[in-house]
Amino acid sequence: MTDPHEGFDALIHAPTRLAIVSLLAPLEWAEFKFVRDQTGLSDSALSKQITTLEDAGYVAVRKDFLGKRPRTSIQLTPEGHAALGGHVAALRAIVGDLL
Amino acid sequence: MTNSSLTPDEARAALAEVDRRQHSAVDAAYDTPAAYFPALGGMLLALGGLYASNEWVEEQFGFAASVVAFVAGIALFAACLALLAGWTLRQQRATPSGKRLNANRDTVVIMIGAAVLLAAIFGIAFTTVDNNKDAVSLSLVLLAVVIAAGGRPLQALVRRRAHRRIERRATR
Repeated sequence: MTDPHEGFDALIHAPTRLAIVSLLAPLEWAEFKFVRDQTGLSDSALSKQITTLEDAGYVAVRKDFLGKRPRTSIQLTPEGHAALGGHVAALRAIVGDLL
Repeated sequence: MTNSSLTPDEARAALAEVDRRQHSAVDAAYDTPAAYFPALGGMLLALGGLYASNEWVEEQFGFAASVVAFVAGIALFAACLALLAGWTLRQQRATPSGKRLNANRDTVVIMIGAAVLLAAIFGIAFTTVDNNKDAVSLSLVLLAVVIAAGGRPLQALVRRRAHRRIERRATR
């Protein structure tokens, strides 16, 4: 029998980071402001969480200009997709779907 | 990394949160500003008018004037299209993923659908007016109407498919 907690990722499981990673999952890129508005975090709180996820290799950050306006975009990396997939599988196992 | 202290209820709540956030991201990603499709339709309508009136301009003002009017009209259309695309991109704060197989399949389906639609529109126009020039003008007018009226419903269809993909993954 497989360990029901295999794939559980404590870094992703924190509520704000789970919200960020889940939001990014079906997207190619999302603007920083979009993620901020969706999660209800302040700029600084979101920056901190993004840095944590970036350090883990789960998200990539891109800074560019749209016209004269600076824009920061965030993307879930393949490692981030894999981590979220594993985490969701672990959560399902805990709920009992796979037992 | 494991966490054996998580209860099934907490895990269920976390799964629901993942699901809710993904659906909300899809809603935002497939939400082109409402003005986009009517504006694009309007521009195509103007292009159809320009193409249709070209012969009349040539008869009234000469060949050179008709060429200048046509080129100026195309340049204006291109500039308006660039402005519209730029404005739409600025409004779009999240882009749907194009890397997944299903998203690529959607693109292929839409492109094939668009090609069939264009062929059908030209066929209807040619059957109606029975000459190439007027058929092209009429096609542009019909296409403008289809885009203006059908753009949002088509986008809603693509959005629904994206929601279904999330649901399928959730139940897999």
